[in-house]
Amino acid sequence: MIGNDIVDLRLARYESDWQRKGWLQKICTKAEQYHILNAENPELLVWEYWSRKEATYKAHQRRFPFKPKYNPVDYECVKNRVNIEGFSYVTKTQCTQDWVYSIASIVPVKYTSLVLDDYELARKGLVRFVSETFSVDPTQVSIFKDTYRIPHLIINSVIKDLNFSITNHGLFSAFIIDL
Amino acid sequence: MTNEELLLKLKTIIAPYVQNQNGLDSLNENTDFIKDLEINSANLVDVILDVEDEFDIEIDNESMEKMITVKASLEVIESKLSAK
Repeated sequence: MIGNDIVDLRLARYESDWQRKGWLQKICTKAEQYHILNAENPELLVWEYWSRKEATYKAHQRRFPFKPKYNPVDYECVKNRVNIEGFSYVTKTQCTQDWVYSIASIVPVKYTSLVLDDYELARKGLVRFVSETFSVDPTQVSIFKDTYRIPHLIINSVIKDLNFSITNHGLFSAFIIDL
Repeated sequence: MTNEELLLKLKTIIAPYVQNQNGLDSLNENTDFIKDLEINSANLVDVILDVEDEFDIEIDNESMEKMITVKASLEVIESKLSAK
C-alpha cells in the first residue's frame, strides 16, 4: 500500500501560520515539536512531517479502508518511518525550494512517482502512464473515489486492484503507482 | 444557543478557509469540510483552533478526529459547551 502528499511551500506559508498558538500541538507529537523547534529550518520540517503524515494516512486508509478522520497527531514520525495504531510505514521525502513531497509504503516497493508543475497534471499523467503500461487507450482509463474518498482506477470498465495515490497543492501535483 | 445560532457561528468561522463558495452557500449539517467545501486539510487545524477560541472550549484529539463534517462539529461543540 502506498500514499503520497505534496506541499506547495509558498502556498503553505500563505495559508497556514504554523507558529499560531496551539497549531503545532494539534498536529505534532511532543517529540516532533521538539525536533521542529530545534531544527535549522523549522518551517521546512513542519511541512516534511505534515506531508509524511498525510502520505501515510493515504497508504493506511487504502490498506484498512476507514471513514475519513482527522488525527494527524496519531501519525508519529520516527526517523524515516511513520507509525500509526501499531502499524509502521516507510517514508521518503524530497524537498526543493518550491515543494516538499513525501511517499509512504508498507515496505520499500518498486514504484513510479512523478511531481508535475501543475495542479491538474498528476491525474492526467497517471492516466497516461496507466494507458501506456496496459496498452489501452487513455479514454478507457478513469479514476473514481469511493465513499471513503479512496481513489480507484477503472480500465476498460473494470475496477483494477492497483495501488496508487494522487496529491495536489497550489502549483504542484504528483502521482505514485506501484508499477 | 439554538442549533441555528450555532450553525451560523460555525459558518462564519469556516468561511475564510473555504475554497468552494457554492458549498458554503448551501451549507447544511451534512456538509463535509474537505469534499464539499474544499478546505485544505492543514487549515482544518485553524478551524478547530478558531472554534476553541470562539466558544471558549478545549477540543481534545478524540473529538478533533471526528470534526470533518458540519454535523460532527456541531455535536462536538454542543457536548463541550454542556460540559462547561
